[in-house]
Amino acid sequence: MIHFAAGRVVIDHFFKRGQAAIVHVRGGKRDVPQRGRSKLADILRSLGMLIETAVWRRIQRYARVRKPAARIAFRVSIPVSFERDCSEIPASVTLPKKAMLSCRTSYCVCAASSGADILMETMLFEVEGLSKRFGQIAALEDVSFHVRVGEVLGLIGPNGAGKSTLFECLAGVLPSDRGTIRAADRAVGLRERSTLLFFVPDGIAPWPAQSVGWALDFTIGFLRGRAALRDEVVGQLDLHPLLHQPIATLSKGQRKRALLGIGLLTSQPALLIDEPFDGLDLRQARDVAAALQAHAARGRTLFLSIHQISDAERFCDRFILLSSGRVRGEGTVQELAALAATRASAEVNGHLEEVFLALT
Amino acid sequence: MPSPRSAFLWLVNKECRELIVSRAWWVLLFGIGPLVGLSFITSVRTYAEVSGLNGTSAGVGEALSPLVGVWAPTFSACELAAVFLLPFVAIRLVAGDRQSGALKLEIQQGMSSFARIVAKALVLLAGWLIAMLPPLSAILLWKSYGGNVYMPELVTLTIGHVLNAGLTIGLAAAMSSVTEHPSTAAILTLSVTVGTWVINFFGAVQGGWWERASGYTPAAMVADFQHGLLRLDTVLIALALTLTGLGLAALWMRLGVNVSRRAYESAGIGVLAVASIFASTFVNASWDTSQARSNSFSREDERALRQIHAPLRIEPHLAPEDPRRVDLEQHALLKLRRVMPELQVHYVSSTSIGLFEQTSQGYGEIWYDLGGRRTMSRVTTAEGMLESIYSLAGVTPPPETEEDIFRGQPLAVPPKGAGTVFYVLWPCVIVIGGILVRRGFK
Repeated sequence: MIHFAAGRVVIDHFFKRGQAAIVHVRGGKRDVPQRGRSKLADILRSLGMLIETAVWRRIQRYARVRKPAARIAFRVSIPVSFERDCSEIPASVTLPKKAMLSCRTSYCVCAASSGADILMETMLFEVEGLSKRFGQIAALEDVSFHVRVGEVLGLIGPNGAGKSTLFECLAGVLPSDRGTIRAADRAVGLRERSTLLFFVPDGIAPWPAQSVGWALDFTIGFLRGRAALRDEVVGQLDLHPLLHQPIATLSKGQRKRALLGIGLLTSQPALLIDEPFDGLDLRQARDVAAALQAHAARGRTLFLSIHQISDAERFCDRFILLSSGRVRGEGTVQELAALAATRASAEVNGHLEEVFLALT
Repeated sequence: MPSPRSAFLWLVNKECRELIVSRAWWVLLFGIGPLVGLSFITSVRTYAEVSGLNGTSAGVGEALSPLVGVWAPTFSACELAAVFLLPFVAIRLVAGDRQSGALKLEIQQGMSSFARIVAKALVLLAGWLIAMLPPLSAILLWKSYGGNVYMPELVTLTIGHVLNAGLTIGLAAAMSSVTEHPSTAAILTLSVTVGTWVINFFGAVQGGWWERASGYTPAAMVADFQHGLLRLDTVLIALALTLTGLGLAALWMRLGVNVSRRAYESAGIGVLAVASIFASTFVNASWDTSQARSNSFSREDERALRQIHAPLRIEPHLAPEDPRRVDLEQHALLKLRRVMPELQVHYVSSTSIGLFEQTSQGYGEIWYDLGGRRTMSRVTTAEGMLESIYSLAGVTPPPETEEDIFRGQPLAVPPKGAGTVFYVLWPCVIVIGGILVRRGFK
């Protein structure tokens, strides 16, 4: 009997015939991998999980196009966040080997119930030794940290600390000199990043002649976004009045909201946003914060670069302090305060600003 | 709610929209109408005069081939547009993504960069085909005047200009991806075009490898097509160069890959391109699609020449800039190479212009060596050359038949209505269409 308290289900193998899967279970109280075989649909049903139609279609499409004899590397990463007796999972289903499929992707699906606190205990990906130089200038030096499933992680640092560079390197829109990203115990290559994370840069005006509405549709169609969230995101970010307006004609704040809309519609488990509150007035900033929190509550991991420390403190669960291209600390405010106290050999009050100053 | 379709189709849709809102494309469309109109009206007038309009005496033969007299000059407007306008349209479409930041979002989709550049190239090509509507509408006008239309030669001419546009697109795409800014890309694209003109110049002056290379520049390629000659090697080289340009563009679009790696991969593509171009130069297949058979000997002569199996070597003692050499090359050797691919031609000259060689002994002589037997002639016409070859081979020249003589397609009518179509109607349609379509797509 497997008792899930938290963690995620990793479907390592997927078969065409009978649509069965070998399920590799992680998490739970003992955090010991367990294995079971069953039909994928049965497993998901037994786990009480939701799998989105778009994801399910992708799995089926892989099943159709791949050669049956090919070996696998299909991986669906599903965070679970509920307690349930899963003893009904059958022990095994026998399938001919040639029915195996070759697919390679990674996907995170929200669990049926909420429980962000528990979700955060599971690592989504980790960054090891990331470095980037621009000539003589070291923009990033040996940057290492980890990102947990469903958390809101804040990247804070002064101007020129390397925050945007770090995001660009993670998203693969800028080459890094060294370092790796690891997820599910293996390195994530450049081409696989698009299945793990999506990055919304700051200060861009993509497709300037096209309307905001078209940009959202393009995000859903081309960037494999979630169509079901379109209306919700439009409402959350108050994009209704902008839907027919060309992006080039938007103000800075309006453009930022449109970009956030694009980001929120994407389907990757992690969303990296560079300065999500930059250019927004107070009311808009609050609306955006509420929208981001709503998506985070569903299990989406948010990694936000924020230079306003007060905003970051109010909004994020954990923080990465970046200064001069180096990570000066990682953790919650309390953990960072403890770290700062250790380094300074004196007590540091619990405000992030003080902690930041002490550590950078 | 967006319609369900593949990511590639979404990309094509996006590129179409970007093209339609691009002012550069509308300027291209606007400009090409009057350009074509000017060429068409001028050439039809000249053609009419040659055909005997206003009491002039009618010409004969190739002078009255619509391909040479009307279509080559009319379509040459496309060549101008491809060199001076199309690059800006292509640069706008390729570099626009990087400028606006859209590239940073789009590359996160995971689609291969080559597929992305192919989508752009397809849309640009479609845009170019729309820009070719004025010369194609000129065909309808010509037909309405009662002019003769020979489709194979027009198809060949169109293929030539589409390939030329493909080269421009490939080049502009590569430059847009390699450079950071569109203006730099524009300068480099035009520099490469000027570079091909320099090759043409050196080819005309220096001869040798320069002359060989100049045969594959876009201008020379289009010239072949303008004479109704469809050469497979030219087509293959044009395709190879276009694909090379697109490949380089795809490589440099990958922002997340180190510059040094992209440079190495570019070098690899360059080597591959050189190898494929070199291999293509050995392909000899060609088709003369002109109604006047201006690139071929008569059928009887071709049959007789194919009976000659001994190796033929021709040694013209003519300088590269000597007009007789140009005459020999274009009117005789071009036809002979098509029938006898193994033909060896070795030019001998010690100067480039030949002016001071005129008094040298042997200058102007053309030596023919067929299986060890040699003869000399000074005639640079196709008939003179054939006479020498037949005499060496001991073959009786075949009699000239009536069907081999192209009598021409005279048409002595002025270009009625062309001015209205190209100077008024087309610009108005483009301006109104541009406003409406751009508004509709937003």
